[in-house]
Amino acid sequence: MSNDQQVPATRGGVEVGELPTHAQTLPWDADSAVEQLFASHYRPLVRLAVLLVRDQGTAEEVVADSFVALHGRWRRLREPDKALAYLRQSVVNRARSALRHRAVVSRHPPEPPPDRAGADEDAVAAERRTQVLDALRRLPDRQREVLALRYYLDLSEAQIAETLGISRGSVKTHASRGAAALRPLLAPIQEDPT
Amino acid sequence: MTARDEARLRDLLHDSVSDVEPRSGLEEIRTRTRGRDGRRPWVLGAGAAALATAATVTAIALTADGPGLPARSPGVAAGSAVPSPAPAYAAESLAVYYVGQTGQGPRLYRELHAAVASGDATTPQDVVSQALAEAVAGSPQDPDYRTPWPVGTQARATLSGSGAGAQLDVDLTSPVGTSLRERPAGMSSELAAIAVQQLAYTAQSKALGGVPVSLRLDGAESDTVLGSSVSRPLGRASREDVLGLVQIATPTQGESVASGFTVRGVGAFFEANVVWELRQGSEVVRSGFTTAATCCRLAPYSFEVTAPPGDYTLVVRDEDASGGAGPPPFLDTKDVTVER
Repeated sequence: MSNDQQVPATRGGVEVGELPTHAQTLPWDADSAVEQLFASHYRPLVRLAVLLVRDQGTAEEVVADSFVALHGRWRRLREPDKALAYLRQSVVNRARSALRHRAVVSRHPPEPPPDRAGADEDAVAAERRTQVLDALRRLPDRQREVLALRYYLDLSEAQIAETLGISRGSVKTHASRGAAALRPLLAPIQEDPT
Repeated sequence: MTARDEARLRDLLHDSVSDVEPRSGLEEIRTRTRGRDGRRPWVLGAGAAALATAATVTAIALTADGPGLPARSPGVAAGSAVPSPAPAYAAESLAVYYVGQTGQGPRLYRELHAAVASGDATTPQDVVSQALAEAVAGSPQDPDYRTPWPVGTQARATLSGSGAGAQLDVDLTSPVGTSLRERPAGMSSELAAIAVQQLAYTAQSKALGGVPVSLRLDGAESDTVLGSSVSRPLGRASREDVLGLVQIATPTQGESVASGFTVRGVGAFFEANVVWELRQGSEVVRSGFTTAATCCRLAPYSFEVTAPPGDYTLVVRDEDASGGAGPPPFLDTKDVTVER
């Protein structure tokens, strides 16, 4: 019975890429599997999607769609490794699709997130976050995806290559170009004494 | 990029989303997946299940024939719950090529048509003849495709010899009172060349092995057809040069499918990235990406789509790597009905 099985613990919100697979089993039926994966991976996947699409509502939608798709494919995935790889790939693909759709539907930039300004310190932190997200937003899709998978999910080059369906050489190229493009953009933030 | 830079980048990315607290979406996901447990519904019954299996098996038989589009059981729409009574069809399907307009000029697209039985047995010659007749004078299922040949054109095939001496003669007959030797007014030379390739691909796409094909016009050899030079034997140009580089094999145009259905086809995609959309009018209802088997040359792809009942247009396309600067990317579309 699925209830007897261990739900993987959430560790610091970054467990998507570094899940300990040896000690983990998942239930047989799609409903329970989706619930267990949701419990540990929903938040980090939404955060990943925010890095990709910026808008949190869109990010939530992209991740929900991915879980629904996972549910439909559960019979063929079954293993936690495969399920997570599928979720990651699905989120990245759907995020890109959402961006494309948004570009088609309207040429206007997405709504900026609501002002989080409160105390000065909060305002500085919020400003820094906005700048990072803006900088990511200006990158070509592939570079943004590679950076998010590399530095947010801590995926290996091989895992990124598989997720994006590109060669490891391309991963390297996109990573170095993306990082190079971000370096000047991030420089003022890095020098920020806070 | 130093290790220190990398660490900073890691910190910055984590920090930039550290305040994102998603609303719980579990209820919504539960609602959307209710009653589905990743299984096919079994209400179709044994006959339909057997059909589904047959369709799956034949669909895997890729690349042996033509550009590698899935072969399909004749007279049976894959994925359709009710097998159509098909006694009038021979146990053969015809691979027929038609012309579709693309961002890079006219290209060939492959359709499977049912062969009509003639007498007790259908010979390879009958099959090729029927396919050629469909190619020059038949109607494509997909309204985006057309035959490039003037109305009244006829074509048939004669297979002679055997083994290494086998030979397929394709006899093309001009419409009454005209000659297909020269290019008709209003037809581009590009389209004329594609029309000749349409015959080459259709004649050779059936399992005749590498039987050489000769094209004859109105009963005689001709150096040109539609003003386009004709080689002897008739050669097929490379697939990447003449085929539409994104093709949907299944579902077929107008097909009824279950709410979860599989899309299969071939394409040459930038970075092997297959882009798809399910549209209702101008609204994109579902969309996604998948990865083709290999990048940049024709390779099989497949992906799953789940959608509520309704009429949709399925679009599969290549990414526009030029960002709009180059010709429009290749795409193929099929109208499908998702059944209740």
